Amino acid sequence: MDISTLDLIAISSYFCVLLLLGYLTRRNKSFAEFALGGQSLPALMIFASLSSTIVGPGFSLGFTAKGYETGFLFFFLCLSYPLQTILTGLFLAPRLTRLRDCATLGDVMNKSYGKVTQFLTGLISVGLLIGFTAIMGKIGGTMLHAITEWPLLLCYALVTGSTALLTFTGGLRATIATEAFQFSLFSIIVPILVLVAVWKSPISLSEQSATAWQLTAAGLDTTSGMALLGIVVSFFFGEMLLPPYANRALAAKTSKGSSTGFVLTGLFTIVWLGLVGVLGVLAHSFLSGTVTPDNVFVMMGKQLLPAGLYGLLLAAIIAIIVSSQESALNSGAVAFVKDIVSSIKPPSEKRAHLLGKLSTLGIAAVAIYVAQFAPSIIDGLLILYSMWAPTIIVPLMGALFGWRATPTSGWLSIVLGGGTALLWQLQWHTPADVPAVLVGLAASLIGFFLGRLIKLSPKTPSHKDIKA
Amino acid sequence: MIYATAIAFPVIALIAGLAVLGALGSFVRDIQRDLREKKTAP
Repeated sequence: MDISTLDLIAISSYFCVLLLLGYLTRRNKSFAEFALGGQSLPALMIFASLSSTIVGPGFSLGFTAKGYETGFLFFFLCLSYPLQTILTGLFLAPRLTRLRDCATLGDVMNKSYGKVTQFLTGLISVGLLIGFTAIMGKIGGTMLHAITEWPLLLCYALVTGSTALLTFTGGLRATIATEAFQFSLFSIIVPILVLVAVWKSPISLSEQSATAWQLTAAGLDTTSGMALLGIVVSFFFGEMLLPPYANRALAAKTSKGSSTGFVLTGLFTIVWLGLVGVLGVLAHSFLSGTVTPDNVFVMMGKQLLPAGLYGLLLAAIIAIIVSSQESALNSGAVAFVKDIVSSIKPPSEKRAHLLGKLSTLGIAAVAIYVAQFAPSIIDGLLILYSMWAPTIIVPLMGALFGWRATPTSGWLSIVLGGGTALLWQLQWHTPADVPAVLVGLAASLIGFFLGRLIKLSPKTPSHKDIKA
Repeated sequence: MIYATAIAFPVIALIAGLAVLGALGSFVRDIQRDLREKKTAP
């Protein structure tokens, strides 16, 4: 990859600002500060942090590739994602914020179903977040390898290790501060690239529009109805209240701030998906037909931006990867301490704080190791994503809305939902293309109500309990 | 559609990026004030 001195200066400046922010916000003296930043996050920081976590390589480089191949098709299909974020902001996030004594989703589950459900929630959360960190590290490491030609494993270790050190020292508030900076960087540079592409386009916007609709129609013709439904459903449920997102709601200063942060994030995601998708459409006027769709994003930057600004675009891509990784590491460490370790033997406050920091490094180390086995990891990550909603959503809704339940409802819902989703995909190979997430959710619901029939808890949760 | 995604959306995203950059300064100042208060607290 050819980059000029100006570009290198731009990338170095980005790392300097990141280190400065890490230094300014690094100290925290308790586990509560490490996990929830003192529950003092304002709405705008929740918005920036959530948005920078959501905008990963898939929602930037990957979405531009989809725009290049299928025009607006994926933009319309993936609108279910921001819709889910807005609905979460309106109905779920404020309820989570009211639970001031909870640091994780496992804590929320524990209030309604007990320790077994908390432990299971912790296992699923940590497993998912290790996979997520590994994939981000692999993408970032591969880019670093392309620039420096250093050994791949060293590049994975450098990307994930440096993110872990930043998260390790500062906890949630340092994570939020660096994510806000990263959000600003990519929200300024990428729109500039799109506007430059419009300005330099050799054909008019009306002609570009015609190209976009032709690509959209072609994409629609080659995709079956059930496959389209699968994409919509997966984007709606796949990342619903993942630990890093739930963590932001639990760390918010007020319920209103939490709600506003999520709603703004949903609206921003619509804007973001539209602009990175259209970059792919505009690319047809600049790039030759032989370009690989996954490279369109970077190639457009290289072709259109002057030296320095191209370096900032590369820094923005690093920011997109690092910000997603930071959130995964922090919430993974918190879930490990609160939901797994504390379920077995609760540590003292001081020990929990130390354990939180050390488990950040531990999760990063495991993620660096598993990043080497990429193809199986991608498959594994897809399985974990399709298992998240069937295991967690039903019992979580039960806890948040005060549905009558027993401890059995919690773990049976998780086991039946997750088990069915897994069998549906791996054993039965998704019959009739019905999305595993839907089948798993139905099984999870059955498990929840079966658990209620088996034995009613002497003290069932109510809305008053949740509000308290 | 193309006018929204290629012109309006980038402008909105730019404004959001600049607004967060502005808010980040006061967020970092608040953290530092908080850290100073905790350091000097008896």
